[in-house]
Amino acid sequence: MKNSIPDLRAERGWTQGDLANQLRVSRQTVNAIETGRYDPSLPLAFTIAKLFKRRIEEIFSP
Amino acid sequence: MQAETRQVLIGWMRQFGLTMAIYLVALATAAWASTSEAAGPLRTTLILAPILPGLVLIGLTVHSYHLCDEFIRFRTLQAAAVAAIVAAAFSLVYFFLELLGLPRLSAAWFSNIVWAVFVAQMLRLIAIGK
Repeated sequence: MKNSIPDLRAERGWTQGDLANQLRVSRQTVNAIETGRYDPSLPLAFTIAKLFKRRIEEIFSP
Repeated sequence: MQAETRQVLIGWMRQFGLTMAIYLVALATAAWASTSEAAGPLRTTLILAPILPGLVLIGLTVHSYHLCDEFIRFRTLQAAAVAAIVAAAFSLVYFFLELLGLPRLSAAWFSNIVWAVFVAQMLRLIAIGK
């Protein structure tokens, strides 16, 4: 699954570590999601969407 | 790493380290009792003593697993599955090699192989994103 997390994160000047802290996950998890090696669970996807103030489908696309 | 996460991790490592120390002392005592102590309730108690801290170690390990996020849990399970498959394949192959005359291996060999495969995968996971 593709996602726009790297762009959204860059807009805010956050590192992967900053985003991981806010999502309360590891940096490895953020890296795996950004590079498409791992698709987050629905609760984590909702948390990501809420953090970036976007809808899930605006961040993730098949 | 968040300060809160760091505190949880330090607390867990402290608990695990203390329990591991207790386990090792109990293990050494059990090994001594099995060879030096005369049969009786004291010997039985000393030999069984490592079981309790061993169970606590398993409990702490399960607890640490639940502290991890979903991706780390997924990759840990994946690493355990791969290690189990490698161990199964190795024991199957080596069974036939033993029939051909290769020396018998102790269970410690299999344990080392399983842990080596598991740890290699976990180290790879830690390296992600660095």
